[in-house]
Amino acid sequence: MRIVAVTSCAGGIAHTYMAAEALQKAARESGDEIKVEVQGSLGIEQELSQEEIEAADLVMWVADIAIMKSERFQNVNVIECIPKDAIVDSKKLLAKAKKEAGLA
Amino acid sequence: MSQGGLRIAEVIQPSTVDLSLTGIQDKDELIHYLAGLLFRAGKLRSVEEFLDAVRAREAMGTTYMEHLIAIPHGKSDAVLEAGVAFGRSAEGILYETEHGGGVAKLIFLLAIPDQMSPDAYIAVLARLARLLVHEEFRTALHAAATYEDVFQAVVQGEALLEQI
Repeated sequence: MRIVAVTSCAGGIAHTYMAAEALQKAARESGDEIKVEVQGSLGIEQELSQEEIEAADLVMWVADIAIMKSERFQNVNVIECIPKDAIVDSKKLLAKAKKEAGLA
Repeated sequence: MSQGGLRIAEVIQPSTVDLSLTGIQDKDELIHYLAGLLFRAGKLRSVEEFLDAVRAREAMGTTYMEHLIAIPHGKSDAVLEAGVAFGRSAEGILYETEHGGGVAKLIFLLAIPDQMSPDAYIAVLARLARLLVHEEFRTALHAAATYEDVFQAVVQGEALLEQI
C-alpha cells in the first residue's frame, strides 16, 4: 500500500519528528511504502507533491495544529490523528487508519 | 531527513549521566538537578539563566514523549558549549505540564548554545526524537549498568538512524 502522511506539532520539533519516525517504522514492518512530510520549525521538509498525495492509497494528517498548504489535500480522503497516537503505538494507529479509510 | 548537526554521542559524557536518580520529587527538581550536572561539567555559565530557556520551552508544549521518556531542552546564551545530561530513575518521576505528561524514567536534558543555527539545533533534537522511537534503544537505556553501556547504545542507535 502507498501511504503519505504529514506530521506537525505545537512545539514544532520533537513530537513531529518522533511521530514521523514511528510511522515510517510501522510502515516498514507492515510492508507498506510511505513518505512522510515533516512540518516543523524549519518549515516543510520532504514536501509531498499533489501527484504523490493523489496517488496514495492512504493519506494521513498526524498533527495537533493546522497543516500548512492544506489545499493540496482537497481531493482526497484524509485520516486525521495526533502525534501522540503515532508515538504511543504507530502499528496500532496505522491499522486503525487503514480501517477508517476502508482499506482493511 | 535532518541528519546534520552534532551527534548525541559527541556531547554526552560520564559526568553528565546519572543512572540512579534518587530523592527527586518532581519535574522542577529533576530539571534543576540535571542542569547542575551540565553546569559542573562546564557547559553552562548559569543554571538559572539556562533554566529560564528550558521553562520557556516547556510553556510552549510538553516535552514528555511517552514511553517513560522526557526530553526537556533549552537554547540560551547561558550555554557555553552544547551538552546533554541523561538521568534514569528506577521508580519514575511525575513529569507533568499543562499540556499533558506522565511518569518519566529516562530523561535527557539538552543544552544548546544560542549561536547554534536553528537548523543544527533542530537536527539534534530531531535525531534524539527519532532515536527514542526505537524500542531497542529504549531497552538498552533501561538495561544500562554503566556509562559505557549508555554510550554504546547511543552510538549504535545513531548509526542505525544513518542507515535508514
